[in-house]
Amino acid sequence: MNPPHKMLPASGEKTARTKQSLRGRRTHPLFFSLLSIAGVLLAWEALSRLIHSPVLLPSPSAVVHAAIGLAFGSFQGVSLWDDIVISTVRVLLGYFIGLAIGLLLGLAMAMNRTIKALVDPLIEGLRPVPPLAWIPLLVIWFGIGEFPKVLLLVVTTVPIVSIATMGAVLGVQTDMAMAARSMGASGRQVMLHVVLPAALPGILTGARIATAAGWSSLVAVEMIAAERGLGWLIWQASSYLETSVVFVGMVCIAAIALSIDRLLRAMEAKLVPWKGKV
Amino acid sequence: MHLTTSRKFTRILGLALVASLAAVACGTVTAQAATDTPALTVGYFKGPNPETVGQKYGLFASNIRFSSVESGVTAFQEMVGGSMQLAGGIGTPPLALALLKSMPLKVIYVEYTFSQALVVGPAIKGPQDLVGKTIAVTTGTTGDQSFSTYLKKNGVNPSSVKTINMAGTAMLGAFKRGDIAGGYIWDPVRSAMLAAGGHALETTTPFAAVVASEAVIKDHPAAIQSYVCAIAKANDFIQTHHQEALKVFTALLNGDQATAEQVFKTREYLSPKDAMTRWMGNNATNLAGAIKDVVAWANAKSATPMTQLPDAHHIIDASFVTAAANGACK
Repeated sequence: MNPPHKMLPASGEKTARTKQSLRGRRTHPLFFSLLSIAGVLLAWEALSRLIHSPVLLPSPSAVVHAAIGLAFGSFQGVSLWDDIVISTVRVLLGYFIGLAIGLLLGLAMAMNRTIKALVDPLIEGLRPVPPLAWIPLLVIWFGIGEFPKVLLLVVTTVPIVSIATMGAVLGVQTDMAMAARSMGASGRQVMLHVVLPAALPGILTGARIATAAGWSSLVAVEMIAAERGLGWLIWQASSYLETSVVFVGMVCIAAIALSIDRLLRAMEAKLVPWKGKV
Repeated sequence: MHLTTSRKFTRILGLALVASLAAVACGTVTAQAATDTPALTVGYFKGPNPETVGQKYGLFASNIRFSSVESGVTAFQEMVGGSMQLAGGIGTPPLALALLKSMPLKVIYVEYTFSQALVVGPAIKGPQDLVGKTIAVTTGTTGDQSFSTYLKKNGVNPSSVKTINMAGTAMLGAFKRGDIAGGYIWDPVRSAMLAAGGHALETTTPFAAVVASEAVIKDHPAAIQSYVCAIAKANDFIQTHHQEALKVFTALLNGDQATAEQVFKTREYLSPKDAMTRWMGNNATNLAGAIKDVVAWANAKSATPMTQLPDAHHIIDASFVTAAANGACK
């Protein structure tokens, strides 16, 4: 004879089972992501067939065809792989220099009111200036080599990282620092063991936003007399009405930027495992 | 209860959308039926050309709205998108690209010719001196195509010269700084680079054309004829009212009258008869030949080059210029 609770489940257990069964039937979020991508691709294919103008809207299949052509060949003598490597190097170089400067500035502004008063208006003033507006000045001041290109990426990264860092450090609860102080921690120890770990989630969010900003400035950066790169590819293809190649460049930028963002997220999960769980 | 309200709202929204679309469609039809002068958007370059002078002196009909463009290709992209119906100042490379891409466009008037040059520093004496140097061109323009042709003509391997893409204004700054050895460019940058110590290795005289979308030509031929006549009138005004035109050009160059006069000297504004005689007469033989020469160059730059090049006559409609030359504008 079965125990009574097996024959007639208690109402609490029943609810739990119902929930579990519903949860079991719940579709994986990846399904919806793939569904939305497939939906967009289908709508794009249908629209391109309706418009029937490869200049206005090439079909996804035409873009894939162009991508294959570029992967195994070249566009105007430059291979797609060369474009990918040079752009990634440019973006990462500008990003890491900008990240270092932004972190230092952000920390300095958070810790010292005078530095904040000196630097903050400049950063806030520079932040809304679009990357394209810098190009004529950078060319006049620094010519057309690699330096102005990387500098433009640094200029894009610094405000985002410094503001995020300052905000994250200033957002750390003062009682935490005071508690550490009361237990005899030095100023350096408080900074290293209390303030920085507590501010790290905010700093990493700023760092992630800055990578995306770097990639979104790339097309402007490679307007400065570039000879290769994904931004150059987009400009060049647009000048020759090769819209499918423009799409290839855009997809490559999106894919690399997404991969780097995933990498940073993984790093974030390792460094600040408590983020979002409190 | 909530669901019912939501459904009602969706229905009302749907009905409103259908009603608005119907109203817009009716309005458009009525507007087109009521007037034989459709609103036309014309792409143009802010420069010493009939479009700029004509706007200043009110030579165009009120249905014409001008919108400045950065390049011929940009104008074509807008025309294919439907936001623009005509464009002026278009050189041969965009026309060749349009032909290769089977874009529904036609050249209706060769409106003027202009001067462009390969301006280089004093150290470069001939084509062979270009090897290992950096030369700037604006991608997809007559300068770009003419430089490729110059290298080919003089037996210089294109890969031995570093060719970079640059807009005219940036080119002047880069030339003065010594970042580039030269550039293939038109006025006013050409004059400014010459004044900055450069000299011309080669000077060419390409043409600039008016292009219209096939749909507008088909639906509103009278409006297109009227526009061709207005351009002819503006060109005539530039020839006969030198001082007034010079004033417009000088204002465009921020008061630099000397360069404006120089630009004036290097441009020729063509009447419909001139356009017919030189380019568009005799089944547009000369114009088709000029475009054909550039088509091969544009095809080589394409991601998917064609094996058989299209006939350049497909992109030419000489009927409006012919009519204008035969007195249709009176």
